[in-house]
Amino acid sequence: MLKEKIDQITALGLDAVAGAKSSQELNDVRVKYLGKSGEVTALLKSLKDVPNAEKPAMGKLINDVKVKIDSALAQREATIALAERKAIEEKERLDVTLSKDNLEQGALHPLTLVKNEMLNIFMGLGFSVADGPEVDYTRYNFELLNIPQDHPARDFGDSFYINPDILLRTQTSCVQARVMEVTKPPIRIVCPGKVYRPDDDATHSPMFQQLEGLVVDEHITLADLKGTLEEFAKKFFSPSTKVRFRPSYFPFTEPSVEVDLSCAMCGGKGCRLCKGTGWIELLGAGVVNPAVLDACGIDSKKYTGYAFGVGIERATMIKYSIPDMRLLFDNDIRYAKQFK
Amino acid sequence: MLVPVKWLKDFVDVNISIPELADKLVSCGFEIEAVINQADFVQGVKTCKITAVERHPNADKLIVCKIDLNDGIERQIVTNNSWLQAGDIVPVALDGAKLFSGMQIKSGELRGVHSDGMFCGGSELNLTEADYKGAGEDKVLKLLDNTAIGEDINTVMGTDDVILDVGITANRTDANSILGIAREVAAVLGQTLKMPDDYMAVPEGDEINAQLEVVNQATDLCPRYLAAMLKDVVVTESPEYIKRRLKSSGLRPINNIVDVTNYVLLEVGQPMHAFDLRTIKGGKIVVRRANKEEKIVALDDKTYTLSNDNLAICNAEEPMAIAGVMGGADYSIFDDTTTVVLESARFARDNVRRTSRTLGLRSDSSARFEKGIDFISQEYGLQKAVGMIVKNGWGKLVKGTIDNFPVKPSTLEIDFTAYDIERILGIKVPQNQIVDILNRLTLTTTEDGEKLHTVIPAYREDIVGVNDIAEEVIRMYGYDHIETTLMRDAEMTAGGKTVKQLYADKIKNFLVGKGCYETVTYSFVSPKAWDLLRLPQDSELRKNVKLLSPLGEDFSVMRTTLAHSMIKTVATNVLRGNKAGRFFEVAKTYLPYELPLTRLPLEENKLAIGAYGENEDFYSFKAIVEDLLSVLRIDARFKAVEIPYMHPTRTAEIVTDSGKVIGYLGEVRYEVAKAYDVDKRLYFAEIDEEYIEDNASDFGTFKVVSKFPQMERDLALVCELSLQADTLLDQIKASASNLLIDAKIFDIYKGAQLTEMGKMSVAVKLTFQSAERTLKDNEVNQEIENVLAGLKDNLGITLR
Repeated sequence: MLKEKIDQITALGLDAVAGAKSSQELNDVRVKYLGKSGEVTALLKSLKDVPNAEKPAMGKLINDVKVKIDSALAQREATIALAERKAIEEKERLDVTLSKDNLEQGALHPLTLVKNEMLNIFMGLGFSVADGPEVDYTRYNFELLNIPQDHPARDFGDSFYINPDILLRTQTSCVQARVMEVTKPPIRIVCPGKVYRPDDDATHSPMFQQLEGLVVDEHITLADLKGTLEEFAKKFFSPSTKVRFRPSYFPFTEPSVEVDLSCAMCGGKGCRLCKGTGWIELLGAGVVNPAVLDACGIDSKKYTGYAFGVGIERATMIKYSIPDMRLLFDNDIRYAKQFK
Repeated sequence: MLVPVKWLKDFVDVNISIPELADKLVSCGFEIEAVINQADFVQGVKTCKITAVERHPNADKLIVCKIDLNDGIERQIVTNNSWLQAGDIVPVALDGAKLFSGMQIKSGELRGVHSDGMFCGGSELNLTEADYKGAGEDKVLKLLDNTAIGEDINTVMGTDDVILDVGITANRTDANSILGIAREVAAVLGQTLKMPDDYMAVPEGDEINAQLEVVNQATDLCPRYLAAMLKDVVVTESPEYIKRRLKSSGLRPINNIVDVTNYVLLEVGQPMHAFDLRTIKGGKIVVRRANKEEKIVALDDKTYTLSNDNLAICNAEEPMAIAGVMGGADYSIFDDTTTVVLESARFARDNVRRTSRTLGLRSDSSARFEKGIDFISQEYGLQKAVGMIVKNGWGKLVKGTIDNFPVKPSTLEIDFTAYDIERILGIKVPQNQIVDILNRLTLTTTEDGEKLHTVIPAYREDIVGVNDIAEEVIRMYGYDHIETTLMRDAEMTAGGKTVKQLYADKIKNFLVGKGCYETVTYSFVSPKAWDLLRLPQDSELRKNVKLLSPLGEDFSVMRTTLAHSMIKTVATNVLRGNKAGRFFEVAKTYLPYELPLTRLPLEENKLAIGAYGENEDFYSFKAIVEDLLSVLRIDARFKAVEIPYMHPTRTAEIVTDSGKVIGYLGEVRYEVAKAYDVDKRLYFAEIDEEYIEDNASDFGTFKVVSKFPQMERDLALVCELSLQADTLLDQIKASASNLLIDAKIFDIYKGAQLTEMGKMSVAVKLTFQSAERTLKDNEVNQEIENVLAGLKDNLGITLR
């Protein structure tokens, strides 16, 4: 009699669990069967009327019902929770291809990017970063650099003079002289900075930036200069970049060289960028003229040095294929954004 | 410097191809800027003989000429040059020929009659009257009767040379001549220079002294004045080869004597001048500084007023020439000149340059003197000029020269060893190679064991020491022989950036993160910028450093503020239709200590920030600066301030704890934005970059965050409308204990009821927390009471 009832409640209970559509309905089922006044609880209560001999067996049966329904409830609960979560997620679905306004990151100027890259390469070789004034005395821009009074480079038409003794520096080499005047070797510096010359066209700007390098110590040679520039060229362009020296003239270096790098675009085969030569002229360099060392108070019998200068605009134009130098000073945000 | 290869061959046997020659010159330091093949300009034009002339059947003005090119092919040309006759020899451009204008010739029909091409006039062949008689006329060029038929016109005219345009570095003044380049080519090819046989030494004697005296009163500006004299001179037209060479170097032939001086200028590099003895009044050449206001009519027929800074070549009475620049029109060579005085002098290059600049008068001579002349060229030049005149039978030599050469420079001799060279180059060049190279370069070098001794020729004034010798060696030995090293024998150095430089990087990177784009603008601006910025006339910012010769007014003064440059950058972006933007620039301002400058101005880096756009307002802009200062750990406050170009009620200056103003920020004044053609709100800040780099610091000691709960309380306060946020927050902090860890204003309400009473409601959120314990309600309540009491007592603020 009781057993039949047990079976009946079991079947009804499990059906009810399976039929529950929401966590609310499921909770109602739980109360109906397992609650304090639920069906299964009632069964347990009716156990007291069962003869003692059958009690353990019946008790077990009733307990099994409880376990069965309980576990069905748990399973059903998990299923419903999952479905309900799914429904919410579906409701929350977003168009992930849509974008909203956002404060975008800005960008450094390409000249700064290139300057930083150069500085990083030279700092790795033990160079410090030096600085000097842009408005300077002719003493630093010319005299100490072995450019005498009657030298054509000192023409009023070739520099921006403020008065006969003060001008906008035409080269960062002034910093060389300033550093050597107050520092004893070993000197190993790079000085980036603005310089000024009265030229203005697609490949010249009246204000541009140079990066000057200077090393003074015992045993510094032209071969060290070439080695240093080779390291620089490989890191700045590509590991296969080659360096070529061509004889040239600068008053503050002797021997002086123009430094060509194998073309970054064609690798030396010849293209539009290198005008078919396979080489790109990028730096001026040389062994520091002993007259310059002596003028700056460094014993040229003991010390030798090398110096080099590179135009940052030109390097930037080559690196990023910028066709006209004036674009570097245009400052239109549409150009700036390309350098993020 | 234009170098016709045929001319070069007078001195050296060029036994390699032109491209090889060009490569060799590049490798030893002479850039080849261009290789000009003269024959490229006119191609396929040949000489022909007209064998018969017939009337054109359909046109009265045209004739049909049968022509012979000596190749057995019958051709005919239709032309309107109806004066042509059978037997005339003329240039003809046949099918496929290219004229100087670039025009391509095709055969075709003219009014129904076939024509194999066209006859050419001088202009079509790049020829002038000076090149060939008749070439200046606007008709077909009739050639001399003895001209070979079927020849290329370039061969006939001698315009078949290759000309190298060689770049000469400023130190190699000796190479600015055919002779100078020939010396280099000979050295490169390992040949000995052969001097042409028309260099003629003037026989010694004092015949010249009887007629001429040279008085040099300015030896500082004219260290050498060498003169010779020729009599029985015939002034005539120069022969073709001289005219051709002058022309291929871009000079105009004039007459044989003047042409000789120009020829010598090109070949030897020595500018010369020829005077007619008749014009040398008093038989005296006086080299002196011109008198003030002394005038001369130069060969260009213009009158020049000289000064004491100009050197003049005078006769006993007046200037005959501006030394090294140009002769006087009345003192040149005339058709009836019979006695010529040749001047071969060295003038100081800076004086020639200055004279040429101040007078605005340039010539081939002045250009050459400006580059620098050595002390030996005067002799070479004179020898060549005399030789040309005498060998051509244009005059006879007067015995003797006058050589005013008061201070003869001593010959420089340099002692060194192969190791000295190695110390500079970093590679070993074998001693025998060093000796060989130097001797090839005519730097006569002898060896004594390891000791080397080099005698520097007078024309190599650029060589003054061992470094110069090293350069001579390596440029001939080859730079590709250098095996690179990386300072292996030098001391290690730590390198890197200074703390200040690192902060400069940090500032830039911070701004990039805030959406700012870095800009670069010129350091010079227009003085009109100060008007655009509405700076008062007595503003310190108007005291600027001015360039003596700027590229234009827009680039004429050094900026004293970045305001103009940044506002202009922002305005440009607005005007180009870009919707929004944030920008920054770190650059120098130049502030003179006094004007005119007697020392360098104060150069200080400034940080400029500019912004505009729908989402930008004063507070979003200010937040950039606030966050920057907080990242750099610089304590500063903001104080309302008035600046001429900034919005009078929306601008703050940035003041440090010690009261130093380190910048300002805010909205650009409406009228100023308008002046830059912008009708939008623009924001601008200018900050003392040096100060923030110098005073920045990184985070200090690490602090463990309190694990006890925070307690928040919101207060709505009724305040005066004029109350400033910092006053309110300062008062709150002053009244609370250190349990108050944060106080923020999160809402300001200005309802009509309140504002009528001059009040507003400010909502403040206070956060309390202890590091040691969980705070009790009554503790926080006590704090709030203290705060409210402080606000009421000091600022009259009540709880709403």
